Amino acid sequence: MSSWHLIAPDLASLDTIWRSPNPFVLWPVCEKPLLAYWLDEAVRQGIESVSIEALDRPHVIRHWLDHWDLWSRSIEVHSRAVDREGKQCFHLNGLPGSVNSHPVNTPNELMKRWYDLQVESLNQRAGEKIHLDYEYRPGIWLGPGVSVPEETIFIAPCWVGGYTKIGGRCRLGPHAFIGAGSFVNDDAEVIESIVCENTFVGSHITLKNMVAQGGNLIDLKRGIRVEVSENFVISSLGIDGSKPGLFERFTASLFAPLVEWIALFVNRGKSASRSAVSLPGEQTVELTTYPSGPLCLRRAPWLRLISKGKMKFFGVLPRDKNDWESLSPEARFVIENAPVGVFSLSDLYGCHSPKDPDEWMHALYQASKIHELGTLQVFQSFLKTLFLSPRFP
Amino acid sequence: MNKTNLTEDTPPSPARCAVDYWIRSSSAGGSLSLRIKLRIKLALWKGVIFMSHGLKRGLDIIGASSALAVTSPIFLLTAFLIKMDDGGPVFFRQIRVGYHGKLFPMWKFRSMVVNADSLKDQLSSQNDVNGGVLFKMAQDPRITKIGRFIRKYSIDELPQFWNVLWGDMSLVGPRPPLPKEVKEYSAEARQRLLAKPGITCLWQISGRSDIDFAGQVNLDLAYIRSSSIWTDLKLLFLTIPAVLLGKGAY
Repeated sequence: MSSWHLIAPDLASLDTIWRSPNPFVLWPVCEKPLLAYWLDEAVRQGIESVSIEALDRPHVIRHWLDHWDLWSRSIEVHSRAVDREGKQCFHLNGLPGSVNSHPVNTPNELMKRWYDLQVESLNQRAGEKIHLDYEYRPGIWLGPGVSVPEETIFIAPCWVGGYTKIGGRCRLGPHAFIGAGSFVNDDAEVIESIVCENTFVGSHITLKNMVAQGGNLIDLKRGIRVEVSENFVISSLGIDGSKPGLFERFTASLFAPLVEWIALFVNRGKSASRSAVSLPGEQTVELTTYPSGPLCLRRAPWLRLISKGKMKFFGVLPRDKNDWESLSPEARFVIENAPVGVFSLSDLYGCHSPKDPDEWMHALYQASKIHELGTLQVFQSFLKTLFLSPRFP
Repeated sequence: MNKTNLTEDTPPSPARCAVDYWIRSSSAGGSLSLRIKLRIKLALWKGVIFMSHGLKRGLDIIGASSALAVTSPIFLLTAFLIKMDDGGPVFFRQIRVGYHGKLFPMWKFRSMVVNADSLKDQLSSQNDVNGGVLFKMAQDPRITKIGRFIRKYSIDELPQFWNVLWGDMSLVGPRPPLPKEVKEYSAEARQRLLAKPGITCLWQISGRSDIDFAGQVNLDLAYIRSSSIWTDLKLLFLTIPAVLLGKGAY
């Protein structure tokens, strides 16, 4: 039985420009991440089992593999160095079969390596026969459901992901990489640039040697990041997971006044405690907490923040400045990216405040499993456990 | 004086448009109107995305629930006949590979003898599909008398409407493969797992079981590329005659 050992580079300390929530091996290279290219190659070579050694955020890789199980092989993710004897080892610095995989040393080189991977992926693509993307003209690949007007000027090579809209009189290429679900408005130009998925690019914008990602612009030449405030220039189209949905907000606005009135009645004559907590997006909000009653009554004023769209029902507890400083940098990095909620996992274990010494462990677990522990997902997984979910034999 | 520049029907040059655009965007009123225009444009585009994703699920729910209601007499009759034939279970639960490689249980009316899986290994030398990972035989001895009839008219596939209603499958999409088949798929063929599996697809209409595996993958990818609500409706209507004529099914 043949097996591969893939070593994912730990480049988190170099990722100071983009500050991506994903480790480098999961950064998109055309339609799939770098890791997927290696797993495809393992399938091609008839490798039976693959182990991945990832020091940088292995939980994200594990979660991704749970949802993308296209390879039907045993894939293990290790968070520390393991015994490599009898296995072929590969460092995931480049695409499989690439020659120039010199190490990356600076943040700027990391971004350039990412861009080079995209270019290389397109060059390799020409040889493959069966591909979901189709070749619109030689060297120009379009994903499914892309609408392109006739007058668009393409300069090969180019790649446009699925369900993308290209406006009138656009000029794309050479080396334009436009991610799935994006919208490039009229008269825009994309030259030697990457537009990440679910990104809007405004009209009369010329991107050259740039990465457009959400509301940010990254200059590949100089290695700097600019946050764009005007949403008609660059903005994000994706669903923001850290904000509550319309249904959640509607329910909260229905019940918040009633619950708050009961809480006021129960706590009459007592003084409420106030704390200034920071929510995602670096905004500080004053939170009022009542001293007595059940948890939902003590946190009654927080419900108003759900209807305002600042918190979720279920998420990590909000923290103030001192709470953030008491966390270790690693834990802080993970918890910062998680949505904040009125009720959290730690409440189930009896820790109702970030001041509790055990609370950060529950918060860390919840933040690392945030895709399985959203408001809807908790309800869904409860329903699913009622029925047997099958596993690969 | 150059008169051609003054006539109204000549379009302004691209550079002129860009300058006008940025001058307009720098003023307060101009930037507000740009924001509003942008909101409308993005809402329209999100509507198009919704049409392709949300409406497909809507069509699945409406189509599957109405199909279950309409075919309930056939359900009762078939269940009765299968029970009468050899007394075994009516339904047959099989683990299949679904969207993004996730496994799910697919339901069918049982058309084979109860120990069919253990007999399959003995029969694998007589496989009709050459060079592929599929197993199909024209004269499979494991199929029961009732099974032959319900397979010919695809009645055995009817319980899959329940899978559609549950969300594991869709009405239109590539057929869900067995985990054993997927293990032998090439890296390219795995791309057919990028769409929700369905009851019918291009393959079913274009001659059904007579196409080889590479052709099937190509048809599945062609469907994923062109998937829209109109293709789905068209394929659904084309499936009905293919099923009633029993074309290519065995």
